Amino acid sequence: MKTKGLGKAWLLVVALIVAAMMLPACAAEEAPPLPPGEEEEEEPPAPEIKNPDTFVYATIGGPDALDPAYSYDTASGEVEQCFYETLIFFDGESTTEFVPVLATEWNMSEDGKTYRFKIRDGVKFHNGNDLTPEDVEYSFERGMVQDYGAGPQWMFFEPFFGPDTHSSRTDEGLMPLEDITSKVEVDGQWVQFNLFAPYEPFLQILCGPWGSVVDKEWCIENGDWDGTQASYEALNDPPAGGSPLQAIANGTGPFALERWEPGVEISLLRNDNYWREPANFERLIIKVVDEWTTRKLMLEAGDADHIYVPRAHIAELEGVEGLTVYKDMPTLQVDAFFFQFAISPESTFVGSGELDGNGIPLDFFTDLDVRLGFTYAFDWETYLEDALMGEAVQVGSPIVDGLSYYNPDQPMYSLDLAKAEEHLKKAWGGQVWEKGFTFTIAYNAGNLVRKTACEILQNNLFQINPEFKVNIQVMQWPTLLRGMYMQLLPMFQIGWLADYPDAHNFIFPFMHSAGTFSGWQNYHNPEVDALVAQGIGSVDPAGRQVIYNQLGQLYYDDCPGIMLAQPLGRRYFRDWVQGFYFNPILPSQLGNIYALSKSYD
Amino acid sequence: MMGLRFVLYQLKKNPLSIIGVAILITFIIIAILAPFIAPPPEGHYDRYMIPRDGFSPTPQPPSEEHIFGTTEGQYDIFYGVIWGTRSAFQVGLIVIGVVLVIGILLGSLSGYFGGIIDEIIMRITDIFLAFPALILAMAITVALGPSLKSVMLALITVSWPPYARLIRGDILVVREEDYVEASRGIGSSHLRIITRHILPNSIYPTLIMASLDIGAVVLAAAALSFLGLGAPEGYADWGQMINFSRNWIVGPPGDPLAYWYTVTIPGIFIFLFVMGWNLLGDSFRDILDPRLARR
Amino acid sequence: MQLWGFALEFRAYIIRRLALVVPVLFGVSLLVFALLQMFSPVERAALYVTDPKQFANITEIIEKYGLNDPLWVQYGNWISQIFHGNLGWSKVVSLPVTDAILNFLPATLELAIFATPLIILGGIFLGSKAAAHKDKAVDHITRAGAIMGWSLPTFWLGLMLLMIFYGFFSGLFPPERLSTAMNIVVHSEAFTQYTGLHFLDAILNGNWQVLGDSLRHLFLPVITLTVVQLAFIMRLMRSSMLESLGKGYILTARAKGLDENTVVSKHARRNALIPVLTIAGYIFALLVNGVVITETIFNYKGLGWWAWQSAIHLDIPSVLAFALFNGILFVLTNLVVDLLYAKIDPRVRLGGQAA
Repeated sequence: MKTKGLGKAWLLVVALIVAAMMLPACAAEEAPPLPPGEEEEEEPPAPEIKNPDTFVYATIGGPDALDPAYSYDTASGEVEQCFYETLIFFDGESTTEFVPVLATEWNMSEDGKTYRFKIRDGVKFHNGNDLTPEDVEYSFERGMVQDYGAGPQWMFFEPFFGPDTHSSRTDEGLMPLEDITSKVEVDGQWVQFNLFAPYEPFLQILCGPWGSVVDKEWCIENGDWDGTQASYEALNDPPAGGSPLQAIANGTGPFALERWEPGVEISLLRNDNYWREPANFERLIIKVVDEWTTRKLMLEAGDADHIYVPRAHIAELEGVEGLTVYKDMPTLQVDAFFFQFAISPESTFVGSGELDGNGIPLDFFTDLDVRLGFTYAFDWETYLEDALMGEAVQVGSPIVDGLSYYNPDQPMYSLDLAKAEEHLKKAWGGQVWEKGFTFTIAYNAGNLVRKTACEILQNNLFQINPEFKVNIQVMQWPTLLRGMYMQLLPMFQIGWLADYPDAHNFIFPFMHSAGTFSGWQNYHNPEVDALVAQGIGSVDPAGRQVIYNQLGQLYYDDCPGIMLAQPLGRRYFRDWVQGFYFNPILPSQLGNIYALSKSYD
Repeated sequence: MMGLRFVLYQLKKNPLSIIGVAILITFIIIAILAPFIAPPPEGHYDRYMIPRDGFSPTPQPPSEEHIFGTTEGQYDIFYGVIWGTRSAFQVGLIVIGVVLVIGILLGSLSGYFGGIIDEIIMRITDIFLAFPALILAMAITVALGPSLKSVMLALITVSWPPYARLIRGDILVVREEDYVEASRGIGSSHLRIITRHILPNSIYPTLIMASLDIGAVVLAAAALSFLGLGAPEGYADWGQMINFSRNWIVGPPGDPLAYWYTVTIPGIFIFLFVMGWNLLGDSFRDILDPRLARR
Repeated sequence: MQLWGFALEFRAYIIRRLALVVPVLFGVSLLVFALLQMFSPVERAALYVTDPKQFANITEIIEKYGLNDPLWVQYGNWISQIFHGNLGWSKVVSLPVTDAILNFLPATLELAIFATPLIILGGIFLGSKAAAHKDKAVDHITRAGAIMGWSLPTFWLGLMLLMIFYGFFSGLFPPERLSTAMNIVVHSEAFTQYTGLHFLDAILNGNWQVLGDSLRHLFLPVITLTVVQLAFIMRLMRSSMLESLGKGYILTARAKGLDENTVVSKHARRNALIPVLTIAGYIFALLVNGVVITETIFNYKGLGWWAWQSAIHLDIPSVLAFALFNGILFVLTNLVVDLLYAKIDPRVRLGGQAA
């Protein structure tokens, strides 16, 4: 080894590297680098806008897939609604009024079972193909044919096939293809949907990403469903990565897919042949940036126009200059504690499994007094003001503010240790009070807010009676899911996020005996089930309001869980971003991306 | 073998090692006196869970009540770092202790008997060495659920192979020495040869490596916590406290150091603790065995 | 000499080493499957469930991915897939595992290309300096520096650097791999991506702006990676050098009146390098650990970031693939090191040092 010159060679390398790094710094000062093919424009606006033709958005998770019929996460829905369009869309901030998009007009039959849409003429897909009514028919049939198990298609099966059908896979095997294709028909320039029964939220469902229209010809070219039975069987419930449209996109929307580096970023390019005015910026880049500090610095430096801000960190952005902040927007989601009515005998979270002070019996929570006692012991004020920084509101039933048929007069519980004591003294014939109990509740690792809720309950119960012992255990998300699903946990805490803004979307999972959460917790009330069916089967708004108010009251009386809070959202933009409006049901943090622009006008 | 007195003399001569010893003694005192320095509140279930003063996510600066301030979720930093000293000793000593036992056992089997036993054990260590340690440790903690126990188990799983190798290598050297041959000649049992003659003459490098590794183990545990896989929220553990501070590195503009205490204080504790062990280990290494360089 | 014999022995040696790769990798895959036993099928199916509402079809998911099958059936399926060149699907990034590795490799390679020479050459340089001036100020300063570096939590250091160089000196050394504008350039028609290594592509394309931007983004992650591990090599080099300086031939050289510089650089350092070389494989393992944390902090999307995401999401095919990939690299690195070792130090009996 020639070591003599090592020291000097070293210096040389360092000097070279430093010099190279200075290069862009100097260059950037003279002329901001322009994307290729871009003419330099005169008259820059007074305050400089960084990357004026590119909108950069930094968030914490990327899309799962780009296939609108397959994916069921908001990050996917966000980009899908840039590529693809739906027949109709929510009118501005409204969740019940609609504007025409790919359909120019529509109507519902007297009996509420047939919807007809007239398809817009002269719309082109990104690849130049024309939009036809056949494309629309194909799009909806394809979705149900593919019917990914963990996907959104159940939202169509329910209105088309009745309240008990949520999948193409029935007990008798795959449902006949004919059944699916008969639900959507083309009639000239019109497309007709044949529902099983009246279903008021149907129009809202059509506005979601799953209601996107794809290009039939292009889909078949790419190996998607070709209308045959064989292809139906082959494509039904594809494995992850198994459906043809997962990494490609060809819609009619304002942006086309430029490049997707999964886990890193996705870049969308303006569609200059859009049937409306082209979008206000050339490029939209959505970056995955997991580290909060990094995201924050990107926003402060103007490298990002919008970032995802976790609630815990809003204080850090107080007083940052050059930002526009939108506050107090009720999001369509809610967290709640659920009592397990029939804990699995395999549970290891019930101590001795008996009411002897060292455990709880498996049917502990079937006693209404236990549930009420626990509920009165929860302190919403501390939870809302401290843990959620006042950026949330208490809710009394699963029907949160912003959903159709929300009831502002819904009765709610509040902290009342005396009442809690009174109920717990009555519970199990006084045995609970006498002997006390011990059991374990869990929260998912990293979720400090959920841990706090557990601690509030733990502390207050302990205060009422030192023999009331609640242990708190942290679990990884998969383990927690298993604990809930296998009914091992005596109580669990989880949240629900809206698919469409109707009361039914929340009442069913929270209260119906076949609902996601109420099913897990073995909550069964025939009166509730009947009302839920009645509620969704009606298209009379006044009648539905009465039914959902009744259900809200039942939730209060029966107390199957402790409804916690509905978070209030915030959005942080650079102040040069214009055009944001809040509609709680849009999957994107950015709302309607097409409406945004970067300018100081 | 060198006398204790010689070692102490050498240690005293080296200013860096004196600093190391002083740091460690301070930490030992803190760990022992933790219940007096930061008394746990009444009715507090688990002494290792840091008490909270409210639930607000915004950290609060040092005050009379909380002399080091609070983290997000209002965990008292002072209580956390004091009791965290105990956690750090636990993690470091238990992991290294168990690893030493496994390493000595497998290493001496392998080195002393050689042949097929050696081959099998060495291939197994190959497998563990070929596996990215942090990723393996992460998978194990995910599997076992977040707790200090899982972290220790994970670290033990990934840390023993180098020890087995080192001991094996050193035994290979000693095995051929005259006194071992002699002992074998008079018909001593394998166990006796290993424990009386071979280990005492080959274990020093391993012990020194172990003292150096205690710091590294504590760092690895902290890294796991930082990645969200360590001790549960609120457990008195420095790594998990840094995880709490992770999102508060830079304060609001105009006051970028607003939350300095959340990051700096647990950071300094980890840093000093690890440095104490490193200083000590480094001096040991220099004093006892320059051969060590070869590991 | 028996050059021919040496070459023959050499070839046999390589073949033997390569043959060992297979059982090691097999063992690695068994290890991962042993880990799998700790999870119930429901927990593993949860990977496909981002939202509890998707849980409705959990039994279908379990069946579809065969999570309920006996472990050996699952293992057999996986192995047969591997032999068909299919490493599975990486759920966390929605890509086939092979594509994920190919996508994320260049980023990590870029880090390694800059960090490795810095670590090894820097460590050797500082280590021998310290040894040559044992117990002088230089020695104390470098040693204290090394020990401090070695005691720093990587993630803490990384966050601190980010705070200073991106927060205070706003945007001097930013996170990620490229700035938005340069990223658009790199992905434009006019720029050919030969390797996926941005700095190299920039040179090949003659685009100095991209080069500078890329280096600017590499700076902090490389420094973070380097500081901690440089300390390791430095310490090793120092003690190795001390040993070699005490050797007879050095004393002889000194006695012959050779000047100190020549003694140090010509004789002592060369011999002291041998143990450092043997440890290079270990450095590699440390680098892999280091990139996991570094890439996470700097939002530098490479293999480390991907592996971290996969591990915390229980994305088994990805973890397995990463382990295999790492295993192959590890074995190959060690092979190269052994060969170099044999070249430098002919005293090494090729047969004996297989481990």
